[in-house]
Amino acid sequence: MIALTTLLAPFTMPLTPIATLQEIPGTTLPLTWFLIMSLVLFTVGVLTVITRRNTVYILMGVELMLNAASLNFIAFSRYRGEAALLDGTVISTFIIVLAAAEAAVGLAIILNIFGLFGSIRPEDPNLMRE
Amino acid sequence: MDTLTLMFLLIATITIAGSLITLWSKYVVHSVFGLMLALLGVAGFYVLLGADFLAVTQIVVYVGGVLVLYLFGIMLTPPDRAERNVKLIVFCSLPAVAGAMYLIGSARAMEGKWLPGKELPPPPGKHLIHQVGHSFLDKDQYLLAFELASVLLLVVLVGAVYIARRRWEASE
Repeated sequence: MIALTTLLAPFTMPLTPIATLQEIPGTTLPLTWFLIMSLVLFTVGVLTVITRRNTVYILMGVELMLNAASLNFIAFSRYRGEAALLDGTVISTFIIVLAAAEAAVGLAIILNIFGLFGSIRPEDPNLMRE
Repeated sequence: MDTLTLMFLLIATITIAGSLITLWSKYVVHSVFGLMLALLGVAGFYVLLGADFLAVTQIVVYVGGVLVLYLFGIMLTPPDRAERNVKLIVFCSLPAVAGAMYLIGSARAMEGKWLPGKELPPPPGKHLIHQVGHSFLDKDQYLLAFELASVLLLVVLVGAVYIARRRWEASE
């Protein structure tokens, strides 16, 4: 069982000096901003998936979530230096490849479901229930 | 406010606006263009983080390929008013916001702990794309994953055509 203190630890512990992105001398950009952006994208993606009544939207929400994960990879790897940025780039490239494959197969399945059932709502294909 | 911060805020506005259009719009095509805004914003973040190769890949593959695929998919399915379950959005937003707040707290707390230095090395120059190409074809690095990805793309190419053919007319 997780103790309550462990759950509350992020709020109670003192803040360490913030790692910053220094491209030009005098300019800074904290890592947290990128994490928050990726969090917003992921949350909107999840809300899109669970609240829409159209199967195309579910795929679009999944695209948003994959982009959030990819942005997280790149942000963490950038803040760890050049060698890590190489790994982050490669992994994110594979994520893009998988997302493209998922979109192609998903839309093919949606077309097939529309041909069979005349509807692309996720609750209409229910042959196995009857 | 310096230039980098200004750029970040601009790109963040575009990205959040695009994703919210995807979530809220009544028309499917509007949602696809909102998704395009969001994906272009993510490409902007990649440029900001120094991963130029990935930004170009994102624009070429997503905006050039996947979104056109979505538009075709929408054109081939009925002109369905995209229904939203507004009650469900409101209902689910509360735990989503709560979880987001917690994760923001966690991110702020772990920052600087996992990261070795406070200051970054200078941004990678023109060698990064060089290294990406070499690591794709180096058997000690990502050669296996690269070949698996190409086999996956071939399977998807054939499989999508096979799945999407007009099978339901033949069976009747």
